Amino acid sequence: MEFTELYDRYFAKVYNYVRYHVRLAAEADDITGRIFEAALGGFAKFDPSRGPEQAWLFGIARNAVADWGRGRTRRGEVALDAAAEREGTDPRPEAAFELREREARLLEAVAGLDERSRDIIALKFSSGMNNREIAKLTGLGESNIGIIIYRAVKKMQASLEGKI
Amino acid sequence: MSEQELAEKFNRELDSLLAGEAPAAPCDPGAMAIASALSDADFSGGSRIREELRGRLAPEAGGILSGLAALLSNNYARAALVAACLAVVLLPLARRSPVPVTVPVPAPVAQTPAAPGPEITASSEALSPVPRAELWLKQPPKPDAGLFASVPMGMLEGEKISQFPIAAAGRGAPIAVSGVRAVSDENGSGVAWETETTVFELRRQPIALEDLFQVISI
Repeated sequence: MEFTELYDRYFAKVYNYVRYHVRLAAEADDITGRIFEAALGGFAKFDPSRGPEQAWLFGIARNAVADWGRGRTRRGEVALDAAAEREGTDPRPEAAFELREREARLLEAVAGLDERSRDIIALKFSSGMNNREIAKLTGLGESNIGIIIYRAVKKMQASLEGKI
Repeated sequence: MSEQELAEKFNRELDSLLAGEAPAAPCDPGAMAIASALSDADFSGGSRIREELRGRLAPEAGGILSGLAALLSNNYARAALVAACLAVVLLPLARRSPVPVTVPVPAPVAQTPAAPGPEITASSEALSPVPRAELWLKQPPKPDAGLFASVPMGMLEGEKISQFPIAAAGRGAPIAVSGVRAVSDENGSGVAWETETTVFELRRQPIALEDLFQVISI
């Protein structure tokens, strides 16, 4: 597989993973850029026999997000609401507005989770990995991953009741 | 049903949903609706770097040929590359045809009268010979003719210089002069400054043509 093929296949997934952690789209762009730069740097050494490519790539992504989180804590930054950040490019403004509102509510609900649950939910719904692969990547048990996902979705359900 | 069992059932239905097979009768429709919304969500449309990042990383990923192709897409880089190629091709051709040079014979160098002085120290030993440039002449130079005209200046051995002419700079240790003396021999005359570690000389002497050039008669 060539790097551009990997990029095309996983850009959206990696970006979505980052977006679940980061409220500002510009920051998500920045972190996603760093992830793929790091991936390009290590692509020549990537050995498919040691594991699937998404596990390798999302391992890089998890480190990048963790680094960003540590840096943000050091700088004392506060998350901003980015719901109105995106410019409307959809030719149907109402549909675009509804979509943005829906995405913003989802991100808000994910942001209400604890850090570990947020990471598991982000991996589950963006990486394409199953619970076993997520367990291997995170170092948790497979049944534990299942419980965390179930509890996180129920918590989001409570906060989004009637909003989705 | 325990939470463990509920979680296992929910995750089985969730895996079916993510595989594109929505469960007909989910055990928890509310939770499954949230999961469905999460699986449908795609925020990547808000990314402003997707194409730019791909364009930046693809040449690096593609190796030398892709990088060269990307480089040549820039007009300035293309012009610079053409100029560099021309220089590489033309430089050896220019070196193959040396241009003969005719140098006028200058007035002899003013000779400094030899004055008696102390012996020359080890630091004033002759330098090892260096490769000289070739000078093509129609007529051989006169044996005692100097190459350069003398520039009027004070006689070095007559001036009272007691301070070392090079100042210490920065945080380095100052240069302490332990003695100053005049030097003179058959090669010329000058002044020597002695420091704790070495001797510095400022010498004036005539320079012959052969000292600088390998003279070839044509």
